[in-house]
Amino acid sequence: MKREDFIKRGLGSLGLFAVIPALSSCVRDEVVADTTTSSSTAITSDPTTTPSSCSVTNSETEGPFPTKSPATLVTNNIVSDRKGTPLTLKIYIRNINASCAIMKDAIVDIWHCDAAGLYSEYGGTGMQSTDMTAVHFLRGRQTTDTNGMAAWTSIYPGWYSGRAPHIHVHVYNSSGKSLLVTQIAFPEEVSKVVYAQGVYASHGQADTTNARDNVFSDGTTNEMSVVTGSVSAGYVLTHTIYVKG
Amino acid sequence: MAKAQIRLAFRIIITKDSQSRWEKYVWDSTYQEFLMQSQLYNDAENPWTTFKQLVSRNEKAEQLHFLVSMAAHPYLLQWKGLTYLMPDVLGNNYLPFQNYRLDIIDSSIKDKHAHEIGIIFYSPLLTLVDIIEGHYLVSTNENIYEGVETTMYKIQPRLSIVYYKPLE
Repeated sequence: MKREDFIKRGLGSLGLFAVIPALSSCVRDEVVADTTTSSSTAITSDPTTTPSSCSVTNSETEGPFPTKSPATLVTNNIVSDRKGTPLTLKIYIRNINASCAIMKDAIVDIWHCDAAGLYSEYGGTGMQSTDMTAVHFLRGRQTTDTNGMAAWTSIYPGWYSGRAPHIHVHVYNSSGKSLLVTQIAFPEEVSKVVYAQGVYASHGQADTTNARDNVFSDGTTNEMSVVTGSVSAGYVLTHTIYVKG
Repeated sequence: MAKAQIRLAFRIIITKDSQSRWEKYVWDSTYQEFLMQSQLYNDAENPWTTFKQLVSRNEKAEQLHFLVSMAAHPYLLQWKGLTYLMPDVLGNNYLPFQNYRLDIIDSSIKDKHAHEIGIIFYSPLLTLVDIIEGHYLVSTNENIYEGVETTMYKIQPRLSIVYYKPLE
């Protein structure tokens, strides 16, 4: 089966099943309404009959009234608690199946490591020890605007052994079907300046050049970003990604 | 017994049969995220159907536990540090949590009803004062000999002590 088919079915089934929980939640709402609106409690099923004994209705344990929220991923500023040189990302998506035109409403996920070369992720065992509000640092999702652009505020990624500095990108169409998983490379002269200062300095210079990198060694023609700015003013990364829309 | 510093962990299971609105939102949201993010690890032309199949073929798909948790995170924040599905014996106080960890039990790109997740809530460190009639008697205060406020949680399935340090 093609990916398009399965994702259509998957997302289609969301709509289909939504009917069933809606029905069952109606039933539950009635029960909840019953118990919370009456301060004294009926034990019998017939509300007009006074029971011989009764006790206070259990309090509602569902917690605060929940509101629908987008995933934590959907955020412009993905810095969270991480420290580093500011980096603004401007990623443009173009469609090779539409004469290379810009693609609006594409969903773009990005993720990269922090200054020390670490990704946000679950550790091997047990529980996280990090602050709960900072568990998903340096990961974000945006939808491209009418210019085909998605933008984030982040920090310049660090590096880890064996890889040249990079940012991961996953591009979907507007219905969530995966179009491309790729990576963005950085100009080495800029990385050298960034890694010589601030929170990056103690980690030193990247140990892998773009030419020796497993991912980029086949050429970075389509993956090299344009990075402008300075350490003091922050940097702006601009990059265009071409997908088969 | 007791007089120890402990951490309690409580795990909930969210399935198609979960009843509360909060659980339904988490279920919907994490399934949508699973559909999207699982494509990172699946084969585009011949995708594996279930999460368990995917993980057995591509162990990197274990990352999906974490990645899918991003869809549940806003709902966890709405609880503001209280595990509303774990009340104390009074019924209107709740086990505080500092951290949580989401796991995908199984899911399917073809059948939403197969989507099941677990969430473990981890309490801050508590003082276990005693175990009374099948209840943990705990306090957030360590100086129990001076008299402290306590609360009681019934010993029950999926409520576990995950850290233990004896106190003198």
